[in-house]
Amino acid sequence: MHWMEKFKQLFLIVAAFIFSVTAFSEDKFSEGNQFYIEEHYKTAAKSYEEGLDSSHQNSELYYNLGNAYYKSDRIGLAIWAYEKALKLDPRNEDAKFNLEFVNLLSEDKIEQPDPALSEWLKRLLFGPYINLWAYVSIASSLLFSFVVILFIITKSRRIRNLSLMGGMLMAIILVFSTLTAYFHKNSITNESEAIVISEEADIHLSPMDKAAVSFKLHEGAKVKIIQENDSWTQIEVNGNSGWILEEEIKRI
Amino acid sequence: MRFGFFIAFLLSAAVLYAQGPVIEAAVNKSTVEVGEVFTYQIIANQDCPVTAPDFGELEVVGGPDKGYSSSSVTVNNVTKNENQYTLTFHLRANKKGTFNIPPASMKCKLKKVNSGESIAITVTGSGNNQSVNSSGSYFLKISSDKNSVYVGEPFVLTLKFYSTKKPSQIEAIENGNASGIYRKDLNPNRLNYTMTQENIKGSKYYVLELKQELCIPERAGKVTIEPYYASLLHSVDLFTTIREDGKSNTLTIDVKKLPADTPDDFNGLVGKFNLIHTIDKTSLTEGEAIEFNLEISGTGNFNGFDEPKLKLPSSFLVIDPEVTDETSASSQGIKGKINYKYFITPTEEGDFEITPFSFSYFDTGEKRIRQCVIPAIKIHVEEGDENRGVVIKGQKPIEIENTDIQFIHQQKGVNVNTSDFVFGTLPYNLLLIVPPVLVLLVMFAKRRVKRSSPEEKLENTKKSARKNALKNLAKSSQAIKTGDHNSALKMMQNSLITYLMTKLDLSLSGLSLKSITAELESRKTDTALLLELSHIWKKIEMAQYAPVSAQNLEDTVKETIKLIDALDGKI
Repeated sequence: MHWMEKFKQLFLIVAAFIFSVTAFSEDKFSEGNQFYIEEHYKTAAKSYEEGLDSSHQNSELYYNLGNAYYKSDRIGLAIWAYEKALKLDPRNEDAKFNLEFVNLLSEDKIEQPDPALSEWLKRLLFGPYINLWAYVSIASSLLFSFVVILFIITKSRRIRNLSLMGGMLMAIILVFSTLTAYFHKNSITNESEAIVISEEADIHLSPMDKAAVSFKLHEGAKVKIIQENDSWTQIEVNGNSGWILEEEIKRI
Repeated sequence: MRFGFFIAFLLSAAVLYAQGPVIEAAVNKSTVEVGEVFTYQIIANQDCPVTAPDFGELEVVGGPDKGYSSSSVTVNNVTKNENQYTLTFHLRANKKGTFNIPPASMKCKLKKVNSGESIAITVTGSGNNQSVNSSGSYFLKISSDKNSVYVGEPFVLTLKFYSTKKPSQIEAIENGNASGIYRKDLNPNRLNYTMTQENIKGSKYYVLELKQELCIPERAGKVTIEPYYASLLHSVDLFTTIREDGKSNTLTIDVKKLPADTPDDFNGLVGKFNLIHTIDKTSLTEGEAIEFNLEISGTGNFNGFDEPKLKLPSSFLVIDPEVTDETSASSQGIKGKINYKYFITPTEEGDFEITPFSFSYFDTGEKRIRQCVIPAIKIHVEEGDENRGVVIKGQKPIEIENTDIQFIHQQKGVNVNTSDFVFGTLPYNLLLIVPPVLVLLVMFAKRRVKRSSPEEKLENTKKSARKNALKNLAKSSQAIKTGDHNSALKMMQNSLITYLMTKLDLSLSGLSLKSITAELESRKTDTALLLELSHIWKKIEMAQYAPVSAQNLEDTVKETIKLIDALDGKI
């Protein structure tokens, strides 16, 4: 009975921790909303920021944070927050609208590859439930195995034909769902892009203060991250690359 | 000799024979000035598809003009008919340099011929001056009735040809470029040209008015009209004609700006205009239609007049008007009237005062902006008869006045914990990979069994011989319990025989106790076991003819099992 007691205690501690984190995050969300409605946008942004946790993320929270940033004239941060919101939930239509709206206010014209197809696929496949495709892949793996065993052991021609077709279908679903689960996880965890958050950022030819400035970027510009070197990050934009101070960008 | 090269080419073209397809090309000038128009001609002896060359940077200002002539030549009393097909282009170079015109080609019955070498054109000089022939016997001139106009104010451009010789035919007229000017030929289908005579510096010139164009400048500043080109012929005698061609002078018109302070309803109209309207009724019931006519008449740049947009209450439904355009270009500008007939249907009852339309224009005579406006019209709309049916109020696009970001979301939705990802974790990988791998192993094992050699199969069969025999003996024992002794005996016998056949590799033919005993002896089996086998064998045989008790049969089964167990380790 001793180990049972210990397990019970551990379970209660974990449950209490999860509950407190969630409740805290929920409080900050509601608090931020209240400030936002009262037009205290900077305070609202602060509440939303406090509601964010490195492990617990929420598309709606990022979306509201983006709104609060926009209303506080922080375009770069607003774009970053909308990008994060869409990363977590590509079906967040309001975040998409607001991102397009705020992007028009940014100064630099960033050439983006035509995202229509990839956006459509993301919206179709990547919902807010992050493990959906992983579970589908496990289920299809088990079903595939079952159907193959059925194919091996049965002597009925009809069942063999049906199990063959079922096996092929399950194999396709297995491959598709595994790939989708991989890309879904990758799209959320991979921080390969960033938004310029400083009003104007110098892009240097090498990671040194004294290095010549290759070009300038303005708040809200979306860049691709190539590598890091101490407090410098090598970025690429419109086919041009250079080094920017890490503090001047925020990773998506 | 200006036409020397061209005439020599024409003479050479005359010797084109009809036997095979022949094509030649030539120009009337190989050295020209910038902007000067010259002629490029392709001559073929057969009527086959001709491919003109790529003229590159040379501008094609006229053509291709097709021509045909036929002649008969008699040599030594033999008459030959010769045909000549021509294709003429008028070209112009817009910059200095040397330009190559590649050969033209013709395809006749799968045979392709070309016109020989490329023709090089050397372009010299600025070409801005008026082109006059060396003797000054002819020239072209463009002139305007006004040198200074307002934007939108019409002026008339006239192209005249002056020559000491009386021209007999107009061959070509090409307009010069003029950006920022709306141009309209006042006589686009002119057939008759008036010819007058003028005395210029003591010489008598025939003056032919070739073209008159109404021009309306569309922007302020110095507007340049580049030289016009014309080509005319005059007959020297019955068989000889001489071409006189060239380009005119350049004309610059000073276009003045309109007053900067213009009303909202000013749309660049310049001239003199008048606006009248008619309305068939001002008192009506809901859903009834009003016929409303607007007529804009006058002289000016009607080309800049847009369709009127009536200012009406939102409850007034209006459909696109019927337009009757009775304007025409004249030397004073575009003159006439345009009538717009509207049908307006009020869809709500009430009293309305409408000022449906106004426009402003710049009066060139008074040099000020004037406004034409329809005075306010009072319209009384009574409630319609409900029995007349539903009044369609029409639909209007939604006008977006302001845009902003979407409002915040009140519902928080699903939290995402990046450590909650199942994908890539050990349990996930095991659950994903292990089941199919196990299945594959089973399949592999099954396939191996199927593919094993006859020796392996035999070995497997031998291994399972005891197991099968014991299984059959168990069935035999079951049969004894049910009282089916005959079946029990047969099963017992079969299980023993099958076991021994399998183990000793014996065939069914010639199988006997003797042959089995001999095989067992050769394998050095204990004599006691041989005797036991012989005893059981005979006991089973005997039991088939003389009835035995169930107990005896059970004993025999047990003895058989014992024997098989004893034999199995030794054979």
